[in-house]
Amino acid sequence: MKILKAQNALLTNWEVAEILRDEGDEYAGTDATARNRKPPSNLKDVMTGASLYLARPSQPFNTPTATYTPAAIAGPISLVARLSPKYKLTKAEYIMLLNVRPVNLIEFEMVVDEAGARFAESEQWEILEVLKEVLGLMYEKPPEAQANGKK
Amino acid sequence: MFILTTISDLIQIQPEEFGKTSAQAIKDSINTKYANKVIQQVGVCICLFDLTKSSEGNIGHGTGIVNVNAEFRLLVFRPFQGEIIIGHIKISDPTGIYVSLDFFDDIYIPEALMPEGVRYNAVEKVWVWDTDDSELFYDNNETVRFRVENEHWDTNEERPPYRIIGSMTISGLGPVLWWEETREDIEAARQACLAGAANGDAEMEGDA
Repeated sequence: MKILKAQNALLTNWEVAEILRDEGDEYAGTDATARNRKPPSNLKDVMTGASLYLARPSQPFNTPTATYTPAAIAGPISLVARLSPKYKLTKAEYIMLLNVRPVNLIEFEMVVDEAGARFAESEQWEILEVLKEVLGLMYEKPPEAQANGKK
Repeated sequence: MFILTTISDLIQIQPEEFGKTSAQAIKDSINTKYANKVIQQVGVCICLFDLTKSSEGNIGHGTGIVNVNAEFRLLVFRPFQGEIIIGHIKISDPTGIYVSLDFFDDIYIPEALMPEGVRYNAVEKVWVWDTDDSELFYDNNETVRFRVENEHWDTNEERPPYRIIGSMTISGLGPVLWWEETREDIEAARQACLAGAANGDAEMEGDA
């Protein structure tokens, strides 16, 4: 074995969820290509675990109002295309904006290094608004009264 | 958290696999060799991402095994230093908290990398954070966020080959539900900020 390049791309969790779903479909024969066969057991173990992790409701792209699509990740209307003309964010920060999906300033400062020094508060809110437009609303705590009133 | 790694390797296909097309036989052979395995200094291999190059197969004498020189990219789990990751608490002990991602659970948050004021409740076997007016629990199975601080590689087969040391000190880390706000509260904070910025501008204009 020879490692030619240890790291040549960073993928978002949403992309990995899509890849694993396609892989599962190929082995199960549910992708209409008639390639169904038994997966190697070690592959099955890790895919089952990773799929379980990526299907958890705690993943931001699994909330009912999320709008993660290929166009949101790459291309002319992607998150990067929307934010990069105005804001300087690193690739790692984009990955975390997509994977962790901050909704308030505490969460924004959690994923963006020195957020307070790099961006005015109003700019941070602006970035969060773009996140909402591109990726959909996140689950947020329901208002207390409503939660008690219903059910 | 997930990366692609390019590898070249001699891939062997057993005669029993000849019923498959070569693309599938090579893919399954690569997955059998790499899936769920740790490559030192690279990460935990999940599965084949794509096959970029492959030679003609050479049949080995006596065995009938076909050898193929292949170049391919693997999907690999390898968080970067400083990455914020969502997981859940698997178990706690008096030294710290163990976090799981379902497919990977060699993640450890030592007491020193938890907020100041945490204590271990030996009866409940959970960590507790005492704030001014309440006790907050790091319950098992709770969804948490942690920050990747360090990684440990190990070639001794008796120990995990790859471990992650995380922290939960900065705001927003730890159980996710501690930090949840209602949509109304978030919108109110945003409006307050915008109003503040507008007033600030007005004052500056006034000064000028």
